[in-house]
Amino acid sequence: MERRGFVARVLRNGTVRAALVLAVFLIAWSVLQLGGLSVFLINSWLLLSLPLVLAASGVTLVIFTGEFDLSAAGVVAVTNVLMATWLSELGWLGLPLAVLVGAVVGLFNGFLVVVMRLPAIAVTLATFIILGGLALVILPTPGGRIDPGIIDFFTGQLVVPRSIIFLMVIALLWLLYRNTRMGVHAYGVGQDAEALRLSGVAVDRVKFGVFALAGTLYGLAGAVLAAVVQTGDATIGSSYLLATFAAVAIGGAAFTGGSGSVLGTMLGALTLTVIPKVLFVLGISGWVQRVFEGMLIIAAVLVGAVATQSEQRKVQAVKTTPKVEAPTVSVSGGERP
Amino acid sequence: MSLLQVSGLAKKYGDAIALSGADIEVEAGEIHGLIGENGAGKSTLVKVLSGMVKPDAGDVTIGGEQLRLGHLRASRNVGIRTAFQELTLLPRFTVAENLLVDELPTQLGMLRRRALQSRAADILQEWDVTDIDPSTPAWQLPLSAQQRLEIVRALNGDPRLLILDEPTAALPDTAWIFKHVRAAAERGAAVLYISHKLAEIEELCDLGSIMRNGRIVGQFTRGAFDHDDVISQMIGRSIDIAFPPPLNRVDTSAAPALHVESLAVGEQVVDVSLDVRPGEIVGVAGLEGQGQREIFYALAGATGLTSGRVSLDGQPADLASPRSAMRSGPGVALVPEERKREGLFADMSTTQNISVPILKSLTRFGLVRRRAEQSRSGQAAEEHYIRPDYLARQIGSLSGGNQQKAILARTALTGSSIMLMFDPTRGIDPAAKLEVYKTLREASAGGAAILFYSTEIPELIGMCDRVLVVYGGSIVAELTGSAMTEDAVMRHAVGKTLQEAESI
Amino acid sequence: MTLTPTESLATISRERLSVWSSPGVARPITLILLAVVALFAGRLFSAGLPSWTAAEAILTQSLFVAVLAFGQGLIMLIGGLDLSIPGVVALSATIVALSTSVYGVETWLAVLLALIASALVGLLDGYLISRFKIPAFIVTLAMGGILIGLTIGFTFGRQAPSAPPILIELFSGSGKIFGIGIPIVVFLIVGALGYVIQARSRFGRSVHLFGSSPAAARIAGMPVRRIEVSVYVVGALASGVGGIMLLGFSGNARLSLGDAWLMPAIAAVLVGGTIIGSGFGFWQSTLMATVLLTTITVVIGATGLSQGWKDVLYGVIILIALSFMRRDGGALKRVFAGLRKTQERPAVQSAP
Repeated sequence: MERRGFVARVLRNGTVRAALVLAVFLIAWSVLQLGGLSVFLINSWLLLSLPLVLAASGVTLVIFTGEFDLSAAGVVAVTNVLMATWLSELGWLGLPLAVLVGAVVGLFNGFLVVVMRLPAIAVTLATFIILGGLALVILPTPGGRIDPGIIDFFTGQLVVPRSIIFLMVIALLWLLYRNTRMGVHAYGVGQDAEALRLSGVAVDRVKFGVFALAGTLYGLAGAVLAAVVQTGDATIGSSYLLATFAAVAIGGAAFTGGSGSVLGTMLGALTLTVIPKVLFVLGISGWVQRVFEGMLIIAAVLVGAVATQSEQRKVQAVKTTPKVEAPTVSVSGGERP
Repeated sequence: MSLLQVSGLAKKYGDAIALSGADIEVEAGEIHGLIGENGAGKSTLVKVLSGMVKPDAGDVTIGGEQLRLGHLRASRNVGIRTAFQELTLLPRFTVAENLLVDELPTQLGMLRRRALQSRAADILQEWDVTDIDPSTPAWQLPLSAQQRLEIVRALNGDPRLLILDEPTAALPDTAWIFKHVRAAAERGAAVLYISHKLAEIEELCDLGSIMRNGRIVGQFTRGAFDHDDVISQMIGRSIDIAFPPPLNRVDTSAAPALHVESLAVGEQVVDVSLDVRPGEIVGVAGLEGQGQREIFYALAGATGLTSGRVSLDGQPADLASPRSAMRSGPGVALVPEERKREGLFADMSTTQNISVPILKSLTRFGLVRRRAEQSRSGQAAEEHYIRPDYLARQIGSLSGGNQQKAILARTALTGSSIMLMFDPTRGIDPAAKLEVYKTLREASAGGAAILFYSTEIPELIGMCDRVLVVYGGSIVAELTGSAMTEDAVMRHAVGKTLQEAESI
Repeated sequence: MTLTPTESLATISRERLSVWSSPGVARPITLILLAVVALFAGRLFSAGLPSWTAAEAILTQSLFVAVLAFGQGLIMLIGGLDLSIPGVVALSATIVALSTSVYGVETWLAVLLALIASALVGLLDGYLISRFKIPAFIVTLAMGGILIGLTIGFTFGRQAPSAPPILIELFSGSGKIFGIGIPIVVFLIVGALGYVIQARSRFGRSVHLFGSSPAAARIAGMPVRRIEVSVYVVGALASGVGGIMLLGFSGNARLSLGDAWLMPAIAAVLVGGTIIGSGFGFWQSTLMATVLLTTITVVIGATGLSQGWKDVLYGVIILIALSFMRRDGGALKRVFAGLRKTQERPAVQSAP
């Protein structure tokens, strides 16, 4: 009985669940890979994960606030092709510019959601489509050239493969962000925005900031993707729509907002990129991978939902913030008979 | 010059008047009690002072300075702190984070967890809260600890005006809060203390005001607190409506249509037993949050019940969902509390709102027969005094009264003969109220068993055969005949035992 | 409560007036007029426009958008979003094409199989969404991936199997009835059928009621779980039907068959004025929006714009539709109101 309680408690933590899933695949990979895992293999895996980690982290930050952001794939596509085209001649300057593009998109999303009060899911779907289109306009067929300095910056060696360093930097930045006021308040927005407002926090500013920050991360993700695959491809970003949310789902963040960790999402993204490797060494064809990923997403969300069911109920019970609506109803204005 | 001066506050929500010229003054260092029935305007006053609601008219000054109304930050900035009745804690935040959420200690932009923890511990210690660990998430705390946390948050802001709205609803004893409220007053804060519990007001407050119908109707001072006088000023909300006379006599020998035995729902409802006979209207009275909502919702199958037996016409009821409750025996139907969220299909027409329960019988080959729908809905609408030209309109564009009549018409069409009416006249105009009363009478003449909760006690007395008073999750009194007076209901509702009530 | 004669007369004339200004009538008329204007404006880009052939092509393509937008619209009415459309389209098209061309199954049976498979997908989606309260777009996104994977698995990497001739005859536009292309006839049938289901049937009514307020639907005794699940079943069925039609249109069951039609379907629902999760929306508006959007696509096609620009335009149209086609007034009004709100953040407004 006690043991069951312990297991349940451990499973309630989304990051722990994600770590367990990743561990299973890593073990499988190391056992199955002929000749064992080499630094080269691991490096290529981590490198390929890096852009997904960045983009999915951005999505996670938005989900913490209880909103959705589907624009990640669009931003990744645009900045990816920008790095291969207009920005490729600018050398180093290309990187901050690509990131800036992402930030601008984030601000635009924030404006539509916070100021215009439009539903985030529809708004970001629209920006996703627009950006995907723009990417195609900028670079209709894959190609282009990435600044070699930037490629080397991300893929090179620095005692250990740089990919490891970058992942650690991302994790570190998350731990820092989590401890900023904005990071703390963002969680609060997802729990109960009205209560947070009554506690004296500028909720709209927090939301705006989170959308902008997320956009920044997508921009960076697109640039890193360009460096990793060493080419520009407008369609490469489209797989990110599924992949970012898959990473969040496996990472154990609640889609209702207010809880979870970017660390979990990072582990989720790493899991998603290790799955093909495991299936490859098993000689399983690509279609199984898609089926498998889809099922893993649903399973991860299901386990999360079931494991935290009772907790969720208690959390809901605390949300009894004073109601501000009027006792009577008027949906549309005008004459009231 | 008083620290807080409120003059002429007025606020209307649609047809419902929440505040109509409320004036109140509280000196620095004064603990000012505020009492009044449900709907008297207390909570709207609290919301105005806290900046949540912008009034239609009126002024508030704090320390002689005009308060910018309807602005959360402005209210905070002048030092108004409120402990809300419905808590504003963030459930997944720790106690420490909840305490310091608006002034998180940071260094170079980074949260100093240790400082947060120790500051929170200091705060808790300062306010004598020794049994709460600052690192516990709020959702893991028992309700009483959550309530204390809410109060500490307000106290800790070093408020100039401290507002406590029903702060003892979940507190087992008052010694702790009284000590700190007094201390705050001694430090020069003005305190507005809102409570249903007269004994608390009497013990704690220097001065007090009684609210009714959106304004202050009486004052009392320490030492001159006369329960009878206060109660009589609280009640007597002006309802200048003659209640329609009963159309039927209740057969008191008839078996109850609704029989409830030892009902318990969570922590809110402890042990409730009641009977409602066919043709009877049984009133339920109680101040806010005494478990009445949970009783109604559990009986309608809308929320689960913890334990207890419910039978309908002698058969055990299936209360798994509102749908099964409706189909169980003679059927139970609920007129819900939150009209907008739980009652209305705002964008749909009145006809479509009414016809919901009979859709199946209106269907032929999978299609809704619109003629039949219009005539059946129209008939039900007519019986509920809804003008025919409202039928085609979006119900969201109608007045609250018409919306409520449509919901009553829908409830009637469910064919359920047990009706649970939760505050059906809230916020609707007098003419619509009268029509609601009439439909209640007609339904009961038709043999319906009606359980009727209202925040307006005169309404219960005017309409009901019996009134049950709930307090703290159980029924503390059943009043019938001439014992059914506003005064008696209010006495029980504010938590006085039967003996006490009789001895006064 | 009796009406005086003048009163009732006034009411009646107001009613009559309001029929034309009601969103269920005014919007579809506006949209179709806009489509006609757009078609004539195509003259600016191409000498071939407007033409009967172009109009025929527009209505033919509108058919596919309309079928998919029907299911998407129902799902959006209750607050969901179906991203599995490409998956279901590919699955159903592949089932039909594969079983007829490779296994020699009768076409009608193959179609039936495809529809059953689609319905099962919807059933699973709906169950997961309604039982575990998982956001619909996550479930459908994952499900779409699974279905594409399964479809690749079915075909074993073969060349895309080809459509049975009867479907090509029906949906490629080559077949005619009384000189009118069959897809256009089907478009009209779909339009009528969609109207009957969404606006006239008990099922459609339940969807509107549930979308309008799940809590009120539950209190009123409606079978809310069953309604929610059935919306996803019907949504997936619509996608399955769309897949079969697209199979006939394109001739073979490519995996990417449905990809290009997801966004137009969502856009049509939004441009048609359906408000996500409100129970508020009219099929006739969605239908006319499909025509408008397809017309715009064709006209842009005439300008020689690339696919990229078309996507950009779609996104912009969705954004504009979102901000302008709301019940609470125009976008500008909202921008100003919104700006004021963020500047001083007044009180949470009491009565909205």
